[in-house]
Amino acid sequence: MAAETAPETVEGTRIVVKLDDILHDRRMTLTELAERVNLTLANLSILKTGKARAIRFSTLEAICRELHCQPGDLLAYHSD
Amino acid sequence: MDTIKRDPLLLAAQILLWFFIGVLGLSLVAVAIGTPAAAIFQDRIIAEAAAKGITAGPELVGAVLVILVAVAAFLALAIYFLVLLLRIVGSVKDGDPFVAINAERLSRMGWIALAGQVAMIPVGALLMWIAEITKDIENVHVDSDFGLNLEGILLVLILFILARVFRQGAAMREDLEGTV
Repeated sequence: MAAETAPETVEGTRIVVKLDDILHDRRMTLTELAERVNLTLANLSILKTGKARAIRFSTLEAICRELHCQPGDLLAYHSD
Repeated sequence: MDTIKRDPLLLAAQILLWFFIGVLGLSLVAVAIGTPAAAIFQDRIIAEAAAKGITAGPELVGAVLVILVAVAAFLALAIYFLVLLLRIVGSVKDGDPFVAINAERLSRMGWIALAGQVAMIPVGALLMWIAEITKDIENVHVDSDFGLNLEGILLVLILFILARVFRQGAAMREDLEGTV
């Protein structure tokens, strides 16, 4: 089993983005996902690295559609 | 973004603003040369004024010098005003006008407009005095349309309000910056 990458916390919040884990499980690269969801690689990298401040529902929907996952699989809340 | 870059209105605005800056610049140079010249040749000016029946020659020269210095200051501020506006137009052309620096530029433009309105009070009073002492002299006409300039006051208000609008816009843009 490949080592899991540490999920990234969204800047200034306790929201964690687990995009790396899901991409690994789906054997998909960030570039491929960017093309499928019609988002620039730069913006998707911002999300992946936890630098995003907000995510549109349309973006969330597109990512969940392409990765066959739920929003809860992608985002988590850490209380500590 | 390409639509903004190709906007003919923005291009026309830039051309016009550069033209006005050029005209004001030339005027500033003329005033900058004329002011010391008036000081150097004030004896001649006083003599010519006396020949035309103006007894307050030295005071007239003093008033004219004050007005010339004020005009030079007005022209310099007007050029700076137009340069600030030109930079705002440039940012619109770049597709990124809602930035904090534009709010700062609009605020400065508001202060310049306000300073112009306030400075017109003493300058206008001097012009009225010159108009009074030269009113009976043939071929000399001093136009002293001095009064409360409502358009100027409105301009000041609009500029300060727009500065606040742009400050809000910059904050909203920054919020949107990290949105994917």
